[in-house]
Amino acid sequence: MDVRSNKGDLKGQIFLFLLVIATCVGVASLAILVYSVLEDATGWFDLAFIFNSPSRFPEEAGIYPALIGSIYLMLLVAVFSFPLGVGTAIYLEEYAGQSRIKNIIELNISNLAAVPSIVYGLLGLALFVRALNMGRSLIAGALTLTLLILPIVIVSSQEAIRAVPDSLRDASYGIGSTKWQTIRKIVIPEALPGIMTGTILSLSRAIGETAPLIMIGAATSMYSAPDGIFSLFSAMPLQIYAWVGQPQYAFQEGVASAGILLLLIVLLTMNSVAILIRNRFQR
Amino acid sequence: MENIYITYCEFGIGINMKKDELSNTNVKKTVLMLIGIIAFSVALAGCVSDTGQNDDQSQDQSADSGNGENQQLSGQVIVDGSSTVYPVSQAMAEEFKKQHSEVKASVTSSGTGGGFKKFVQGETDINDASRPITPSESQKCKENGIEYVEFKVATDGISVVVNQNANWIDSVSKDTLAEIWGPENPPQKWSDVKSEWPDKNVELYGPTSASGTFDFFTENIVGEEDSSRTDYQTTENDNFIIKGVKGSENAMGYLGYAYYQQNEDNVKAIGINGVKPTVESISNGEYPLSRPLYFYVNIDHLKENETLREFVKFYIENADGEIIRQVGYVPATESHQNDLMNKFENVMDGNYEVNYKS
Repeated sequence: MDVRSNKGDLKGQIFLFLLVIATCVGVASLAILVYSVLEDATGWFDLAFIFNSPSRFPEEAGIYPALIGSIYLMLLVAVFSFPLGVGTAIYLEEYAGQSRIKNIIELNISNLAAVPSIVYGLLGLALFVRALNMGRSLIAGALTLTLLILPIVIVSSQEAIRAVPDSLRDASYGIGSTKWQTIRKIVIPEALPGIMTGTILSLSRAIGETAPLIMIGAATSMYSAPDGIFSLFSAMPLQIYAWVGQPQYAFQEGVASAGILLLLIVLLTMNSVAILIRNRFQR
Repeated sequence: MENIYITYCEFGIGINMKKDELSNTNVKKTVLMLIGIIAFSVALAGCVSDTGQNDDQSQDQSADSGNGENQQLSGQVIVDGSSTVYPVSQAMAEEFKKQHSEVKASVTSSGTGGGFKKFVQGETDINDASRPITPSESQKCKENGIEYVEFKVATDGISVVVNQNANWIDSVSKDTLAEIWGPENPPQKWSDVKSEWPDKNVELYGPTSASGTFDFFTENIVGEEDSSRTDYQTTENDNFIIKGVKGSENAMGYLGYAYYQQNEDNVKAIGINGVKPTVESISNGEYPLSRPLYFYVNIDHLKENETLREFVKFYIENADGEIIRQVGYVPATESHQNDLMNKFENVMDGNYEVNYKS
C-alpha cells in the first residue's frame, strides 16, 4: 500500500484545499492591487513624472524630489542599521552566553518589533528632531527609520547566525583559531546570506513607511531634491499621501497611482537584489 | 568545481581555506555591486540637479531683468499646518521655486492644531491655519518667546454636502444643522429632525477634531467650539467625506469649498439659511459659513531668513489672484492685499506689536 496516496484521505484533501485557498488570497489581492494601480497610472507614468517636481497641475506633477529623498533615506538607513543590527546579533549569539540579562534583552527586542510605527515617529520627534536638534532633516528621518527596523534586523540576523552549525565552530577552534577568527572567517560568511536577506527586506519596509515620517514633520511636498544629510526632505509615501488628499480626481487616481507604481518598482527592485545576493552566497 | 568545495567544507577543516577564499570573493563582488548601485543613484541625483540648475540660470536671468534683483536665494522655508490651506501654500511654493530654483521649500499638511504644536516651539517658519490662533496656542508662543504675525490670505466657505439623489433636502437653517450635529440627543433617523424627512438612518461624515474646519463648524453651527456629536465617520482626508456622501442617499458631510467645487458632479451642496456656497456668496459674506484662511509667520525667522521674507512677500503679492482661484478659494480683494503688504512692511520695520490672546 502506498502510504503517500491521498485517496480516501478526506482530512488531507480538505487541508490541501484550505492551503490552496490561503495561497490564492495573497496572490489574488496582489494581482488586483497591481491591476488597479496599472489601470489608473496609465498615461500618467512616464519619464517626466519621474524627473519633475510636484505641481498643482496634474499634467506637470512629478515625484523626483521624493524619489531622491527615498533613495538617500534607504542608503542612510542601510548604513546605520546594518552594523548596529548585525553587531547586536553577533554579541547576543556568540558572546552573551545564556544569562538572564540576555533573555531580558531578547524579550525586549521581540516586543519592540511589534510596536506600532507611529510610536517610533514620536520617539524620533522627541529624540532626534528636538533633543539632538537635527530638525526635519534627512538624517533625523533615517535614524528614526533605523530604530524602527532595528529589531527586525537583529532578530533575522540572530536566526541566521544560529543556523550556522556548531560543527563548523568546533572545527575552527580545533585547529587553534581564536574566537574572533572563528566569527570573522566562519560564522559571518556562513550567516551572511540570511543576514542580507533580512536586512534588505526590512529596508523595503522602511522605505514604505509613512506614519513615522509624518510624525517627525518631513515634508509632504518638496520642490527640490535633498542635497545633504542635514537637508529637508520628502519621501515617496509622503508625496503619495499628499496626492491622495488633493481635491482633484486627477491627483487622487492618476498621479497618486503613478507614484504607487514607482514605489512598487523600487520595492521589487530591492527585493530582487535581496534574492540575487542570497543566491550568490548560497551553497 | 565550486560546488564540490562547498559540499566538502561542511565536513573537512582542510578545505576551510578554499571556502574562505570563495566567500571572500563573493563578499567583494557583492560589495562592488552595492557600491555600483549607490554610485549610480548618486550620479542620477547629481546629473538631474545639474540640468535643474541650468534651467534655473536661464530663468534667473529673465527674473533679474524683471525686478533687478541680483542675489540668488538659497535658503529654506518650512510650512506646516492646515490641510485646507495646504493646496494654496503648495501652489505658492511651486511658483516661488520657478523664480528661485535653489530655494528649499518644505510644505507639510498636519492640520491647523497639529501645525501650531510645532509652530509654538519655533520649529516651523509658517503655519497655515483655517481658524485664528487660539488663546492657549498664543500663550504658548508668548512663553516660548515666539513673536508671530497673522495674514489672512483667502476666504473659504464650509460646504454642507448631501447625495445627488437626496431630493428631500435642499436647504437647511443653521438651527436645524445644530440639531443634527449637536452633542445633545443626536437624531438617529432623519425623520427625528423633521417629520417630512425620510425614516432612514442618519449617516454623517466630517473632519477630525484636529482640523480647523471642525473647530469653525462647531463654533459657528453648534455654538460652542469642539462641541459635536461623536458617533460619525471622521477623517483627515476630505475625499473620504465625498466618497461616503456619494455612496449613500442618507448621508451628509461638511468640508472646504475647494473639495466641493471639484466634486460638483458627485455631491450636492445644500443652502444654509437659503444661501448656497458660490464664489460670489462666499466673497461678499452672504454665505453664513464663510471663513477666512490664514497663515502665521514667525517674526524672528522672518527677520533672519531672507528666503522666508521673499516667500512671504511673494505669497502676499499673489493673494489677490489666479493662484488662489485655481486652488478653489476666493482671493483677497485689492484693498485687503494692500493692508497685508502694509502689515508686512510694518513687521519688517519693527513697528509691529504682537497681540497675544488670553
